[in-house]
Amino acid sequence: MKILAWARRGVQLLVVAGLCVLPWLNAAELRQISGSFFALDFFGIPFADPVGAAQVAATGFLPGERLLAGALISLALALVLGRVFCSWICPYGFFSELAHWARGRQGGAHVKECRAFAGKALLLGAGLAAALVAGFPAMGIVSLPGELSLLPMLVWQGGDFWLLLGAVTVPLAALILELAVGKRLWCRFVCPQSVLLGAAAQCLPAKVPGLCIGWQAANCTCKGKAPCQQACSLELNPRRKGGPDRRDCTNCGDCVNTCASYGKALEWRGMGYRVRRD
Amino acid sequence: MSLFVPPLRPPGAVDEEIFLRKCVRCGKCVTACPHESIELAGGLGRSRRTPQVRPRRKPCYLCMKCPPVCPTGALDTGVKEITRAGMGQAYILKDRCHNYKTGTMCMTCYDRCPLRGTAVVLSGGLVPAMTTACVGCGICDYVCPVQAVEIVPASSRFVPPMAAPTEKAPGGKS
Repeated sequence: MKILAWARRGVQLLVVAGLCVLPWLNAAELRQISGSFFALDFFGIPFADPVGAAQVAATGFLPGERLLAGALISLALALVLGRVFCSWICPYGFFSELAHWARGRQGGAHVKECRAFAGKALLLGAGLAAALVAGFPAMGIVSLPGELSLLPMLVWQGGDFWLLLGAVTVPLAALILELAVGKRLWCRFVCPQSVLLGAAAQCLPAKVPGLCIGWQAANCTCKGKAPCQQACSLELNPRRKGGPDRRDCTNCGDCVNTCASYGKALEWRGMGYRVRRD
Repeated sequence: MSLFVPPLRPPGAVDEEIFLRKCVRCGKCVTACPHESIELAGGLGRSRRTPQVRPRRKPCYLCMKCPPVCPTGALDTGVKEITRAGMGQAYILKDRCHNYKTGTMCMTCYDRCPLRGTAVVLSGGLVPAMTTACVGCGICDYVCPVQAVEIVPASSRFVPPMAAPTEKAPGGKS
């Protein structure tokens, strides 16, 4: 399964590199992929940030057809594949993982996943209320995948120092904080995109095929601090009936790779049988 | 230009208030523009990262490639004709324009207007004058050698104090 880990890193790098050259490719009439992570056209298929569409709805308007279709497609992908956007595509997720790897995990009080998600959901609600009051999608500045994907466009248009500084301030501040603390704070406690994607991932009914990580208690040989839990950059506990919660897990596969060296109790589950947590 | 005048939007933009609510700042119109006329705005307010045209940097050449790519409806995808671009209105400033100020005959704005004869006409057969058919692309502003043209976005009612009178469009548009 190591190959999957390498493939994921490859895709992450490809996405970051692709975003960096996208405006120049578009200018050269190569428009098969265009836009940003707020709204993207990928070979004719629309993808969109569901938070963006939700904000437009919050301001009192029905989102445009392609924006709505793009948001629904993104949510449908999360429903079937889980939050793979976070672990395979999101540029901030990539840099956050890099910072986490560079710093190494730091100790400290563990926050329950349900509380972290509730906090994020509350922030999202506050952001939607802000969009309603302010009359514009005010959460753009904290929508880091979209914000980072606009950065090359700002460079391409010849943006001045202040414009570029305004674009990198929030992601850079978040990364510096994560480097200092040694935890992936933004993805766990703030990211508004992860709330909607996580909620969609959790909506998958039991016994309906969908990508997830399963745990077989009988094969688990580890005692005490589990290596799989140590491997998870989001500090989730994969050792539960049904595996890590689809709402919080980004399906990065780090726990599965680690477990492969032990009892192989963690495994990918997709189209076949899947155990749901009670 | 007054600080309170909103930015000039790309062709096909809906009413400014609705535009600000509908646009998700995705930048698709920016990269769709072959002339690099559209840019994302800076700042921290409601206009942050919204697309705008600054005619003195680069005007809109009315290729109409941006409205169809807008996924949000902030740009009306049905707008295809340049006469419906509806970006704004150009005004000739009498205190700067050669024709008004010194009597020197300068036809630069008239010659370069994509809607020549409709949006800009020769008043009295001699002096360029803007009409109500102007869509505010800003080419006249860009080419004017003395910056005697000002583009006011469609969402603004601002009229420059020294603006020459806007004439009725030939053919009846009022």
